[in-house]
Amino acid sequence: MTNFHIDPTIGFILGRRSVRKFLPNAVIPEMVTTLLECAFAAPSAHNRRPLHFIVVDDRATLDALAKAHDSGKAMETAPLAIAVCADTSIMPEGDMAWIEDAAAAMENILIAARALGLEGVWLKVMDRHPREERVTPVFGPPPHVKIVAIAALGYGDEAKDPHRGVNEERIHRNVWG
Amino acid sequence: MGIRENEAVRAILGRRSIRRFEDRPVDTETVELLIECACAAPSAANVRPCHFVVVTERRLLSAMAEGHPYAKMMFEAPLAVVVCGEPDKSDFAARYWEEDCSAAMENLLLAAHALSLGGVWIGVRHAPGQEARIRDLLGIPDRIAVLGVAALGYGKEQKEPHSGIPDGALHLGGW
Ligand SMILES: Cc1cc2nc3c(=O)[nH]c(=O)nc-3n(C[C@H](O)[C@H](O)[C@H](O)COP(=O)(O)O)c2cc1C
Ligand SMILES: Cc1cc2nc3c(=O)[nH]c(=O)nc-3n(C[C@H](O)[C@H](O)[C@H](O)COP(=O)(O)O)c2cc1C
Repeated sequence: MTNFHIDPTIGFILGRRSVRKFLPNAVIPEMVTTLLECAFAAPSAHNRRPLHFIVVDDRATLDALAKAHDSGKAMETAPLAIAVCADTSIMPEGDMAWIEDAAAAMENILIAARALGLEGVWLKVMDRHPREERVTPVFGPPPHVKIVAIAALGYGDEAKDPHRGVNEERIHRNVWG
Repeated sequence: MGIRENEAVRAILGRRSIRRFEDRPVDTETVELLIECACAAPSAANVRPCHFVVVTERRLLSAMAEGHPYAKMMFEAPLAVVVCGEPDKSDFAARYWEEDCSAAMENLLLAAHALSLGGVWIGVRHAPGQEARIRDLLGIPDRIAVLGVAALGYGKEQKEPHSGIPDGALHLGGW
């Protein structure tokens, strides 16, 4: 049994849970900037850095997103949303590694949020239909830009237990099996 | 204390790709904690499609390095964690295993950095021919997808942390 209190970063990684209800308190701009810096600090295949981020903090757009996203109820109360987007035009033909870059950046946002006393949830957009067709126009990106997912963020209004332990069946030593 | 001095924020900004390693093993307890952190990653519809192959055998590490164009650091790394997905676990897993596994991989790399290790993400999924090669080498079944490999160890190089926001990549309210 590991003691996850030993290192604060480990504590935030294990403590991150999907929170979908938020208090009305706004997130101060300095925190938003820090979340974005953490997003941009994610690793990127061949250092191509295809990611863009759209920050949404006005109630009307958040409400529009909550309505357009069939699993986006969290944005009804969240004071902040960050859409993780990929500019696919800078990638070589057929190279989809931007999905991995986007997911790593999203995870950075969620862990940084937790570290700053915020909570959040990963709301998938891309490749869900008609969700993608409904959500994308709210942001209005050019056609070569994919909205991969949205982080709904704010001060949490629900508490959940941290993750603990591993599922031994999913760990393999040196070779599979 | 400023927000950027927050210890976890510093770990996220400070994580860099480390490709030179000391000749020193990573103890079992640390490996367990890394995997625990990987398992704590979110997954679409909570499907949890990730598997992890923990590789410490020199022969296998070197074999992984040999056949990959950008993985020479695995000749030196004492540890690799192969992050795999199980797309046929469910409809959600089929569509989102790659994002789920990428979040797990990022947790691994962040946790490694927090525990004074260094590491780098070796892409497998989108590197032509690599997925089949790694499967063969480690006996991974065909139904299991291989996202990538985290090459890990005590780093022998240091890099500056990330900072700032690139011009033109941030949009407010809409694109
Ligand atoms: C790729 C991905 C897509 C997700 N999409 C949604 C979503 O559309 N709506 C939602 O409420 N949660 C979504 N989640 C959050 C998961 O439901 C959540 O991570 C999972 O239930 C595990 O719970 P935890 O995050 O508290 O550990 C998504 C997570 C991932 C990784
Ligand atoms: C999906 C993915 C695949 C990568 N594949 C490799 C690889 O095969 N070999 C390698 O040396 N680095 C690889 N990297 C690491 C990137 O080169 C690195 O993240 C990028 O240059 C930015 O540097 P940083 O990680 O120090 O911030 C990969 C990163 C990602 C996200």
